[in-house]
Amino acid sequence: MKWLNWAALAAAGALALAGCAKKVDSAAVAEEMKSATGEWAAAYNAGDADKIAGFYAADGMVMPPHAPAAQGADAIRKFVAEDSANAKKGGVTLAIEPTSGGASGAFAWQVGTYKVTDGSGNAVDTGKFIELRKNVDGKWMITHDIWNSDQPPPAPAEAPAADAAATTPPSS
Amino acid sequence: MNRMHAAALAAAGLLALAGCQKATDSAAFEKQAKEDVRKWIPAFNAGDIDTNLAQYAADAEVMAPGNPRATGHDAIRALLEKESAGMKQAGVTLALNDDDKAAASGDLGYHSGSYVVKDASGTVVESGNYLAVMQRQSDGKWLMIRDTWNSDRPPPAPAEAPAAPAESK
Repeated sequence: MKWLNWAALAAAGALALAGCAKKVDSAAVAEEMKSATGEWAAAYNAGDADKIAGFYAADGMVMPPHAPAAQGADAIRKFVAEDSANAKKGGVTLAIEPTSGGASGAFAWQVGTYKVTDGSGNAVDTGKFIELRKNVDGKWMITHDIWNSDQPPPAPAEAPAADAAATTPPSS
Repeated sequence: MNRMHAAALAAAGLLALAGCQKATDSAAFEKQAKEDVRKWIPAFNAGDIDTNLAQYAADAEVMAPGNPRATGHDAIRALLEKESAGMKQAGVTLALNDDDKAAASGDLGYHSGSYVVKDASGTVVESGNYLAVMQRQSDGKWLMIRDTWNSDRPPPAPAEAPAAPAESK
């Protein structure tokens, strides 16, 4: 009877464990994502598209504003190479500030703001982003990455030119 | 001794449960997320923002292009009312493509896809992508905690530039 009890309890324990996954340390993953984001921004400013492509899952997707979505390492590398080259040509740098994030199961998310600054330190654009990550063999890889500007788009050409617009160079 | 064994094992079992998470039914989540967004769209077009709000957690953030982040139901209501009214005034409506994907793991899920904006004649005048992060609430309900989208078309030419000929699209 004693052994039967033992066996029954052990079996129940094994079943309980089989039906559940280990709980993720959400705060620790959020910290990990924060530091990865610092590396992402540094690589972007350095024009290192290979390094950036390495942050994404094989089927990862970048959804930039005003451009078609880029899926997979090759498409992401190509987008980042062009976009970061344009930023360098324009003399602007990108800074990213994560503001919130978390993880559960095999998924993690992070949200934050970005700022694009010109050579004299003036902000030329500000916006926000969401990235989603999944745990691939213990590494948190980006599966979705999307952002947009806080600034309204330039007035369309049909609209009468505003006074201020006459002195503002067309944005790239 | 028998009792002690049982108690010890029961305690071990409870500890194991506390450190682990129940498996999530990703397919059921996917079905619900896809149904939710198909209620979100007509509600937005009709200006029935209460229906939209019911899909967001109390501290959710909606990160719309051309706007600062809207955090919490009051700010989200103001943003969606403004956007919905703007589209109504422009005579356009929002519609979804059927390419959306959704999955969940643990207490987190996502929903992502693409959208179009159509004018009264059904012509697509705008298109873009969206991503929502969803979280299972304490009552078991999945709600959006973060939501964003953007246009995948070139921005409108600034006022200084000469108007592009229509055929250049």
